[in-house]
Amino acid sequence: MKHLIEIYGWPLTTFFSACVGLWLAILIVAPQFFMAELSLRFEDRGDRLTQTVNDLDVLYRHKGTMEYDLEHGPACNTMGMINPMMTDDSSCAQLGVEGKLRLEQQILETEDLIQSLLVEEQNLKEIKAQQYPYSVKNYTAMTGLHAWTLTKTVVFALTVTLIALAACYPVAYALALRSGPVKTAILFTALFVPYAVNELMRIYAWLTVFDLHGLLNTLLAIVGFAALASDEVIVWYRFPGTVLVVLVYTYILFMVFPIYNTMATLDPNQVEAARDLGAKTWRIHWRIIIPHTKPGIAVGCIMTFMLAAGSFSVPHIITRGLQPKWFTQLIYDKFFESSNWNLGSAYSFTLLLICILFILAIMAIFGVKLRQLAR
Amino acid sequence: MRGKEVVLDKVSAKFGDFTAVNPTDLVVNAGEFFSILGPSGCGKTTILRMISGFLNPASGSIRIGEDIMTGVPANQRPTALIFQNLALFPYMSVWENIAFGLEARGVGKTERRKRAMELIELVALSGEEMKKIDELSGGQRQRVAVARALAVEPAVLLLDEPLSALDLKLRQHMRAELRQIQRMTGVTFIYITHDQGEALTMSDRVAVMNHGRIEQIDTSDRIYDHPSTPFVASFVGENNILRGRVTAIENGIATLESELGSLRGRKAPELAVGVDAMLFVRPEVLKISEQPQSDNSVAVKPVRRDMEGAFVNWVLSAGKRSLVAHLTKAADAGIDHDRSLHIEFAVDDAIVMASGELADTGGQDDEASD
Ligand SMILES: Nc1ncnc2c1ncn2[C@@H]1O[C@H](COP(=O)(O)OP(=O)(O)O)[C@@H](O)[C@H]1O
Ligand SMILES: [Mg+2]
Repeated sequence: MKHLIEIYGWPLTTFFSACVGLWLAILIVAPQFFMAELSLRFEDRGDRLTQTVNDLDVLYRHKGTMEYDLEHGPACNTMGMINPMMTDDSSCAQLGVEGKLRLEQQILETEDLIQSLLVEEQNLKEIKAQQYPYSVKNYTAMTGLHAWTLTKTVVFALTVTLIALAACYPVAYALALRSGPVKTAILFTALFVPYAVNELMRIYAWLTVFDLHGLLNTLLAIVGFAALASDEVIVWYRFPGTVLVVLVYTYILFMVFPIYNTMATLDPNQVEAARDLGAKTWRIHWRIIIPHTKPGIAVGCIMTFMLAAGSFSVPHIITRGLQPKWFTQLIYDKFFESSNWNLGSAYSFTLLLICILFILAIMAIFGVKLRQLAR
Repeated sequence: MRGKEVVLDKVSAKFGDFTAVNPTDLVVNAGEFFSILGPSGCGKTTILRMISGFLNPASGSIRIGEDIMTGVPANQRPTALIFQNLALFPYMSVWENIAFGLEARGVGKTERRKRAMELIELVALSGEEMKKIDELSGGQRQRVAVARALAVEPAVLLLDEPLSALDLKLRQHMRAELRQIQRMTGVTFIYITHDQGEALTMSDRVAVMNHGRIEQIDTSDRIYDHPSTPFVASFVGENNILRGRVTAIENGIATLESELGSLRGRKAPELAVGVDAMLFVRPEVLKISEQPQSDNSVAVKPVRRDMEGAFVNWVLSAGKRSLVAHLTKAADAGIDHDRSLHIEFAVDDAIVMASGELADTGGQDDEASD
């Protein structure tokens, strides 16, 4: 802090600190706190309060319809459009005096019902407010199916991480220790160009490969193993491998970079010294290069795992609904389909917890400290 | 004796179009302490890398003992290289570093450890074997590097300016130690340095190199007393240099018509009358007097007198030239500043060579500050 003040002077330093504080508060702490709070409130969709609220909802709607009918007659020709549901012309008839009276009567009854339910809701709310609001039920209530989905997502993310590591280590090695500056520049450009394209576009591009009449099937057709015209093709979207491939492709840079960065700091003389002392290639990797590159490998694995486990767009776009959902898709559904933010938050935190466990495991395996990771 | 002979047969090295080492013939005897001395960038490391197998010669071949090394990879040569920056392995302890070569050869752990401990004793590091490299001092690291290289029992040890990172005192101490280790083990040492003090004190023989070419290979004494090129004469030790034209050669004595008058010195081989030449005379053979004993003398004015301890350094001017003389205390005692003075030297103490490239005096200043 003192150092910063020396460089920027105190007004700028204060401004920077304030910005960082604001960012932390608004975009990190507040939402996380909000979600954590939500996840600890269990919303029992079968309890009496929820039922009462639902009943009230229905009654309000019912009453509204009746009031409308009273004023305009039953809906059959609204705003010049024919109501397709009302094929029978007779139901479209004007309400008689009798009908109106009956309707008014019904509205009054409904209002009474609403009043009594409101009282009940009020009572139930008071009771609930007196109860202790928090529980871990959202976390423990996961069904077997969802737990299985979570397990599968984690296993897939681990697989993606391993594939990416296996693919990236040689690439990083070639970039950092085996090629001259010109070659490195070319290879880097080649790695970067795809990443200039929007992530969604990159994922969609794979559809042209996996599609029913896409690249793979066309190639198969050329060799004679498929027929495009009669749709005798392989439905690639059914295979979990497709998601793996696209995930690896999408996040590979996050693996290459940290590994390359640490590897590039290795003194090439170390490698030569080891070779000079008679070491074969695998021993040089095992004893010299990998120990030096450990922090980079750890960071790469952590980033790739978290991105893969948390990826929504890739499974969403690639599976086309032909594979079981990923855990991220379940979370999405909880939030935006069944509007159960409480459970959604709990699911998110469960995933976060697994990611944190993964980080700790990686740090233990590689014997690296947090300080080294930050390098 | 473990050491083997190293023979370079017209070996050259190129980086693209740039010739780093011109075709070079060199014979390093088995068990010899051989130094390659030259300014930085002259191609010393390149030669070492070719011997150790990290760089393929553009032409020629290298033989170690009976074996031609062409096509033999670095990890199968009977050499061990000590890098300029040592390149110790930071993730290993001292003894693991030393035993790494044995590990690579599949020696079991107990045996490895035993051999490492012997070497640790040899290089006087007992008690430090479990430490990590970054817990050691510069001199200790140096010793680890030597022990690590010796552990694989090389026939030839290649050392690339290994002492350059140490301070002066430690450097002088390590010189003696390296020399002793070389004697004890009998391994052929090829030692690279830009520091002439190092090369002259330690070596059986020295090769002086410039611009990818070896200019002279000789013992330290002969390099100092009988330099064979102007570069060697100006790079090794200090020299007063006078330019002129050769007017006569008689009985191995050349007469140079110089800017400071006619002076004589030993004739270098292949010197002919009429060529542009340089006369080299070392500061310590100059005598200063009021009345010169011979005509091989120049009238001078004193500029400065620096007391250096055993020697007194005089800076003198003669015309536009500046000359340096190192006098013993006794010789210095009788000199009177205010009189007109002369310097003179014995004909045999000076050498006359055809003009050629001189060493960058920047290097000399470097040496002076050592
Ligand atoms: N890998 C390389 N690529 C291109 N030029 C090089 C390379 N290595 C060395 N050189 C050049 O070759 C010359 C000799 O280098 P080097 O043998 O390292 O000199 P020294 O060890 O005597 O200081 C220098 O001019 C250097 O710039
Ligand atoms: Mg060098």
